[in-house]
Amino acid sequence: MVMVQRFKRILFCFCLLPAIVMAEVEVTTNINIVQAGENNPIEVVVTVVRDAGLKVDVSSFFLKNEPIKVEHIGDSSQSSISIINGRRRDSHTTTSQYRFFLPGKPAGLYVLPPVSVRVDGTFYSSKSSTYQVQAGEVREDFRLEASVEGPSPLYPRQRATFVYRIYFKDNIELTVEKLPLFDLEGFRMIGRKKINTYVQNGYNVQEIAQDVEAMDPGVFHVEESIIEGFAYNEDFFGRRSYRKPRLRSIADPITIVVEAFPEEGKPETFFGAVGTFQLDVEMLTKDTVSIGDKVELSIRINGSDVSTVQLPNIENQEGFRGLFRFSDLPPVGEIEKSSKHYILELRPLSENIQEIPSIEFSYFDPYRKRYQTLRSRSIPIVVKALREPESQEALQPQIVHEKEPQKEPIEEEVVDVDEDWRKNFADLGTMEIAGNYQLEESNLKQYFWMTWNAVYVIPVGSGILALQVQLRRYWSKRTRKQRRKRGRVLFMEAIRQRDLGQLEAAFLLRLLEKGKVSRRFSTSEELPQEEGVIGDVRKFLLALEERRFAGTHQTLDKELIDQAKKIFERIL
Amino acid sequence: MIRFKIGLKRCIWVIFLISSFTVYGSEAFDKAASAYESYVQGERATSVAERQDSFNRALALYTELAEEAAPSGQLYYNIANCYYQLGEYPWAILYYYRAEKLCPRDYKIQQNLRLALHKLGLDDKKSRSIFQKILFLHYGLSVPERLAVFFVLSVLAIITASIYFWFRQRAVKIFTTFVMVCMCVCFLSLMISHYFSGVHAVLVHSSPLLRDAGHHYAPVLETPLLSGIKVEVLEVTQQGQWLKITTLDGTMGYVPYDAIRFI
Repeated sequence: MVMVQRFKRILFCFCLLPAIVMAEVEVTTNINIVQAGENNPIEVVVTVVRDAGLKVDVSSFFLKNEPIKVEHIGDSSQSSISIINGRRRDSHTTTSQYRFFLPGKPAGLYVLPPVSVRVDGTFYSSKSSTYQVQAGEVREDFRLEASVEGPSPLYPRQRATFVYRIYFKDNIELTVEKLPLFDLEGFRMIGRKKINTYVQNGYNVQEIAQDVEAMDPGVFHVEESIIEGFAYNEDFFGRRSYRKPRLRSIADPITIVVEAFPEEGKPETFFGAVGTFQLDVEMLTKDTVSIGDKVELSIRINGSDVSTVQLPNIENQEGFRGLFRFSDLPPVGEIEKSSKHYILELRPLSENIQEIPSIEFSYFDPYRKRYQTLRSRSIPIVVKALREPESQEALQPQIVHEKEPQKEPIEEEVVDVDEDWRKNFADLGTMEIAGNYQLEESNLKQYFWMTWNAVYVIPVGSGILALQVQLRRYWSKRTRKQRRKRGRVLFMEAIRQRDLGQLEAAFLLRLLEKGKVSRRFSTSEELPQEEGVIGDVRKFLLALEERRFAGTHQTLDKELIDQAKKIFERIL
Repeated sequence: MIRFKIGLKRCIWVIFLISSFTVYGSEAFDKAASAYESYVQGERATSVAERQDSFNRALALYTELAEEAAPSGQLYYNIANCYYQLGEYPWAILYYYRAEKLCPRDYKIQQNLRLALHKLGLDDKKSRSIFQKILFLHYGLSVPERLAVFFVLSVLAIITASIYFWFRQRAVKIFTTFVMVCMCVCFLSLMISHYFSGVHAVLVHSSPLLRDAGHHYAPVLETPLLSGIKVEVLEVTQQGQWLKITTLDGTMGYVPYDAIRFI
């Protein structure tokens, strides 16, 4: 009995043990060895398993005795129920994960000290563990190159391309990519990165290129670029098996110089164009215009790098100022291969203008390191004066009356009128063209017979006519049928009443019904004398007539009836 | 009961459709009235700014109307006038041509078109030949007008043919034959317009006439083609980016699509 009691106690303790263990707080640490490259920050993940009700103080993490800042990754919950000796026990645990980074270290074996954290007021620690930082092996078949492709030195607004090329032979999964060229400040990225893969001298080459535009002058140092990774093989199912050692490649640091434009000799018409250019200006509209008419100029700037080209402020150039009115919207340049094309709209304001003056365009020649100015040839133009408005006189007194009701000399009053307003007023002329139509609803509607839908009248009309043909056919058929019936009915009636006159009428009607004769005959003598059924009918009826007049047969006997029936049935 | 319900449903639909057309019609009419008011305001304006503002407002309304309503010669003429008043002569010419296409006998359109062409230093070389005068139906009537004539003739032909069919009158037969001949002539004229007449366009921006489709080709003429010129479009190339055209004097070349608008 005592033995049984002891066994029960041991069993109870054994079953209770996992529950007791689960009730404790457990702190563990884990290092991602694959990511732990030489001199790279090492990620440490701290896992805290606890009862659901217990709270973790995130600000209380310590590495050995040093406080550390951790980042919360996430939580997961687990629930379990155990029934022992009829007693139900519920257990709810929460697992939280946090991470922090250790500074990069050279290759070697290191100890990760215990990490402690306060959970619900009590500190719990992980066990210390060891980890190894592996040195990446530098090999010829895994190489990184960094370069800047474009003009050197660069000038502001000039464009270049930052390029990284990775040379490799085996498949590589990169674990570290430190490419500082792409994060360089002082350059504006143009578009997206272009990735190109090709084979060169037995190497697979992956080229990553980014177009950039220099923004400000300065000297930019780019530290060394690093990539690390593991070569791998892939089996039939796509599973990868990584090969050690870790591979590493370092590209040399780069220095990029963006020079400032020299202030000395900088022309007023310089707006940042760098390179060598040609200027081509031509007039697109006719060379004789009236004041205020639009003149279009085509300005084409050809050169090596037109991305830096901006149209100078022509409005302020000599010969244009005050003599031409420019569009409020600046012309938008259109890049066409190696040229930038602008269409400039301007309106002459004076009849004294005799030419479109020469247009100046300046650029900086990076090879000669000096500014160059191009001038287009001036274009002769004839500007005609506007016709003096007739309505001006008529309108002026009205305005004057509004200002001053007293009758005073008009000349004095005109002087008082605001200068700009008067200019506007003076430009107004009579209407040169006939006025607008007052649109009516019929002008805004489109009737179907005035569209191409009207052509559908052909099939519809044809259908209507075809329908009428069918209707007519049906009609005549029906009439014929009715007539046919009438002939037979009359025949049967004549036989029944044994009436010779009626019999003759029945034969004549039957001939008409069956289309044997074209018109209706009133006596048998009128029937044509011909062979065939008509002739037979004629003979039969004449014979019958003779007998009737002879007084031998006043009515029909059986023989005559049979003969009549035979002939009647022959009329088909 | 069910039949009554269906009938009621149809009635409601018909009423809805009619009312929607009426609403649209009145909206368009209001817009047209407002545009006309703005235009007249522009004509009576006492300052350049006011005039430009009014004409611009009228143009915006008329252009909106042109997108919503059916194309009409009078509407195009009004748009052209707005462009003219704003000094955009190439666009004015384009719309005058469009208006002329729909109202070929409108004197006001022809007069204003001549003025607009004159503004750009272009000549209106159009003069009617005897041939064109004889074929008045083809050259003197617009396509919608010819379609209306064709429709009327067709209906008349169907009616007279039906009468003849039932009554066999000689006079009706002669009249029906005459109407049908007229109808066929009209139909022929429409088919010629639809399938054989050239596609015309107007240059709204001056552009050099190039030897092939691309800016890198040499120009055919030393001077660029002036805006406002009427040309015939022969071919569309490079996914509609370039058009092969021939000028009225027969010079052939390519211009970019942006420079041109179809009449």
